[in-house]
Amino acid sequence: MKPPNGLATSLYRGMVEIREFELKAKEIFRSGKMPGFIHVYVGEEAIAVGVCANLRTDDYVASTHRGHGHALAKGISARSAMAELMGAVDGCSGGRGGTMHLYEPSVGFLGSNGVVPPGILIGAGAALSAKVRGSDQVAVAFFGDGAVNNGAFHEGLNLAATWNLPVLFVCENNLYATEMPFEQATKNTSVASRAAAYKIPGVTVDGNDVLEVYAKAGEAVERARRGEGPTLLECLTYRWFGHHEGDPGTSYRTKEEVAAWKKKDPIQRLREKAVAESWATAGEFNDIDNEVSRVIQDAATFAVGNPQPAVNTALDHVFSN
Amino acid sequence: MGGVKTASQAEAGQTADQQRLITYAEAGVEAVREEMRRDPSIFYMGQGIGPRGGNFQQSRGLWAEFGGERVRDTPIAERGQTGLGIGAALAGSHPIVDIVFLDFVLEAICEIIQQASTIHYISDGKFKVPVVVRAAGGGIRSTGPHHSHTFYSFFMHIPGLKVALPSTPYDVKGLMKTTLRDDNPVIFIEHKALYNIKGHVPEEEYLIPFGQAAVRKPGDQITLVAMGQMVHRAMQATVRLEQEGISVEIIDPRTLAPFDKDTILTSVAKTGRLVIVDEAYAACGVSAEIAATVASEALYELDAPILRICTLPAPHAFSPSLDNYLVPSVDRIVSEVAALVGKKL
Amino acid sequence: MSFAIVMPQLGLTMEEGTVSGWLKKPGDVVKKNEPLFSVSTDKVEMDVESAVDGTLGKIIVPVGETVKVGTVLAYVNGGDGEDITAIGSEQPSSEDLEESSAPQEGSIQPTSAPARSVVEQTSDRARSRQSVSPRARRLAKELGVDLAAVRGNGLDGQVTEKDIRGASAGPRDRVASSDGARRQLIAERLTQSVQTIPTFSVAAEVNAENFVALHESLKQSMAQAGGAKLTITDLLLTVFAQTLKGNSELNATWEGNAVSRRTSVDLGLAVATPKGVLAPVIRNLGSTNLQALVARRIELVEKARAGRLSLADLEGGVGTLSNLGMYRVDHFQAIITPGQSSILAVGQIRKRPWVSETLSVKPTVMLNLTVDHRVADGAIGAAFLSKMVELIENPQNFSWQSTASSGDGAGRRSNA
Repeated sequence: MKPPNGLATSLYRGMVEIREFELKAKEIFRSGKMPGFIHVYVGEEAIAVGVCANLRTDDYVASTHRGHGHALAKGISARSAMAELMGAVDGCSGGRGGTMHLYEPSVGFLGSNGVVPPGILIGAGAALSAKVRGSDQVAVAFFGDGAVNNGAFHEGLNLAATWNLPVLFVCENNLYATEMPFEQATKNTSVASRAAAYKIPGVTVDGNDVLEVYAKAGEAVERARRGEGPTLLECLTYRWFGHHEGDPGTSYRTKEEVAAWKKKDPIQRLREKAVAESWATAGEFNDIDNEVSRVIQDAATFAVGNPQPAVNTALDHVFSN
Repeated sequence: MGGVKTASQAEAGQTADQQRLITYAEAGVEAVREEMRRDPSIFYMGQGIGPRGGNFQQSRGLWAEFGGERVRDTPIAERGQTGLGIGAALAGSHPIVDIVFLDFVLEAICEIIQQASTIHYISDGKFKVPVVVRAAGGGIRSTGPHHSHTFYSFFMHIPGLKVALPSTPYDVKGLMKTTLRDDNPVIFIEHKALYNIKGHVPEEEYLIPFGQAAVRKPGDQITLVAMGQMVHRAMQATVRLEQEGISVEIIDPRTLAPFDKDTILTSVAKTGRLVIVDEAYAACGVSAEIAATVASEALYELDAPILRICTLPAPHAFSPSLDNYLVPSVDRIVSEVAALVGKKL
Repeated sequence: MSFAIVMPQLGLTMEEGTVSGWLKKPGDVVKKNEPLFSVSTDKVEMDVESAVDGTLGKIIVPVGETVKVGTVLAYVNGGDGEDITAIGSEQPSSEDLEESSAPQEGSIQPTSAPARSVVEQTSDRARSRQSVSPRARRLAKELGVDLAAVRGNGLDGQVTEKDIRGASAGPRDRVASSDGARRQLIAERLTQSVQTIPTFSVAAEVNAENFVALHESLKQSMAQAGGAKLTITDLLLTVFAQTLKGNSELNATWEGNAVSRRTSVDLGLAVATPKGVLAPVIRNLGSTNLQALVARRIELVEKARAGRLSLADLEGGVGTLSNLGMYRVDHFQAIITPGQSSILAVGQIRKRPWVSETLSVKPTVMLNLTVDHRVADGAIGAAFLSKMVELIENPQNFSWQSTASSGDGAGRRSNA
């Protein structure tokens, strides 16, 4: 079925921006200039983009430690995100949060998070606020397979279901939680099936098919906005690289498995399909590639040159006013 | 006695026929109710705080007035409640998360410390986290090892959290109102043994700022800092001590963060002696923090070693004989304070 | 069912006791009335019997420990009670401790010995230092007080603020050693007295014949009893004190804005010292016998002449006796010490013409009593003086060697 005009290219652009951003971040990190350690989203772009394309600016997103993709998809600029990764003063969190703590209220981005499941609770909490305020805003909480065996997952989903909160729980199941294969972490390897325990809809999608993600997420968002409560959306996907920069990701995964998943690259798949179905031309996609490349290069130059926050601001913002 | 107005003088600011006597629990409810009427972004959640009115009647009547959207019961899921409260605060609400028994705040402590206390700072001030975590601490009538804790030192320890510790009905109302107008995460700790005590609470609106201690009783020989229920035990102890000619000045910090150290320092400069009475344990507790502050900022005012009277280091025993022995009693306070000035009582 | 064995109350005043022996071990069978343990107190050492049959459980208070009466020492379990000996002991045996602390092969050995001696050195140094509170140390610096000269009266002998303030210089309080300072002090006090106390005086010449005879006989009997040398001054102090005892108007001082009465009689005695006059106070003269008074007088006069009087020695008197009878002075008027309400000035006892019905020669003495008019009026002062005169002229009515509990001294029991 043909997607609405411009959707394919806009989804494509979103994914390419994330891809290029992450590869550039890796490059800067390897050069030794970037503090901390990063968790790149390469291979999972379809999920952030497919879900967030359904959201308004005033809808909420709560993210994870692997959150650059969510941040960009929700509308944080590449410059602002890259500067934050450098701990620099013009980063979206003023350099104080870094890679795992990107914050941007103007686009409803409630933070990526260094702790594993709190995003679930924060997202549900934002949905609770919307409901109590009588607003039709919705919230999305992203998390990985590593979160679903944690108490906060259970408490968060139960509360959201009981109170009929307008929240979409998106599980990015990339089959590994750091080095722990999902099948060794739990007996029930279907994340979506857990929804039944809370009597909410549970849907499994191919997380590398951006159009499928877009469609299913869209349904869930509409359900939430209509006041019909939460949905658990399991997106099956794979990360190309290790858990974090520095982890080769091959001590617990086989090269064959990695290669097989790379063949399912969400960006390539969309491009091929769009061109084949004449939703857009190769030329348009190339233009997008070039444009994004310039944007990311500009962001990198900006970020690397951006100064660190002054030390006399170290005690600012511990408290509000 | 100097320019410090005692709390009771402030409280007694009204004429006699204006003074109402209400309970500590009622004062808290009043504060919450008034603020919820004033500010629609405030909502309240916790176990049993809805139709039941709260285990300690600390939310009585709120559900009836504000309804189930704004006053909602939760299942037993302190981490979930608190995490959701924090998320709601980020989205513009001002939730009160009632943990009921302070002991169970441990279920939620990751959310409080990792999320609530940090977000304003690490978002460079872009997000405020106006969430209130409310709970009752302390022991009463053998509440036992899982229902008697006084966890406040670790909240005082963490930058980014405000901690209130009211000991009178007047304080509960004034501090709760200030709490609900504060954009920061506040841990509001009441004492379950105080819910039924009565005190004067004015009809007119008043707020008590954070970081302002109350001088409960003026004196000039010994500075005694006490918190929560211990304020009342210290007051009883001083009746006996005064009879023996020992003059004690009792200071109640009322909030632990921000903390009013100046009132204590001024008092120690006058008396030269410091006693801290705390129902929590001594090791790394608030008493240790106060002692360290005074030792480093007023060492040359000290005429005697600093004395800490705290619960002895054992879990809270159930048996009344052990419980009364472990937790500072009026008698223990009397005899240890007297010993500080060389008297045996 | 467990029965608590407690530290028994072995006497009315016993508050604590020490377990001096356990006569059974945990697990032993115990019979009612059989001795179970022994207790020692400051008064007694005794065995205590068990009040029940059973098995001795875990011992909570071991031999050598002192605990309050009523403290649980152990439990005795009923016939079907549990076997408490199965619970392991909490203290490792001393052999265990030695084994575990034996150093490993070729590891930390060399450092263990020196480390211990470093700690000891530090504590030796600490012990030789005077314990002075930080506040006292600061005050000593501010007030210029030499810490080495200050004795600590705080907890465990610590020097505290009170001690520093007590030792610090202040013109009114100093018992200083320099002439200039002493003169200045005397000058200030006497000026203050004359400027603030409205006075009047009453005087009388007294027939001292009987008084002198009394002095002779008492002096002899006291010397024979091995006592110190009795002087006229001692007897005059007694006269003054006894009269004050029976006269509440003058056993008072002007304080604040009112008369403040006293219950005891404390009198100062003017003593000339090389560095100026001092008047140390003898306390409780109303209940002091002559022997004790003499001893105290000697002690204070010696201290005064040696410059060792403390502030406490000089404060608190209600009046002062000043006897210049060792000089060729007939009579004189003295100045009241600030804080007191009277001063009795006594001149030399000399033979003078004395008229009763006929003219004769008698040893007489001139008394001059100066009184704070705020405390008493003329008539009171006069009556007081008359009483003293009466006592001196007719000393036989008073029992001089014991204390009299009332002014008339007739046959009352002493309060010593």
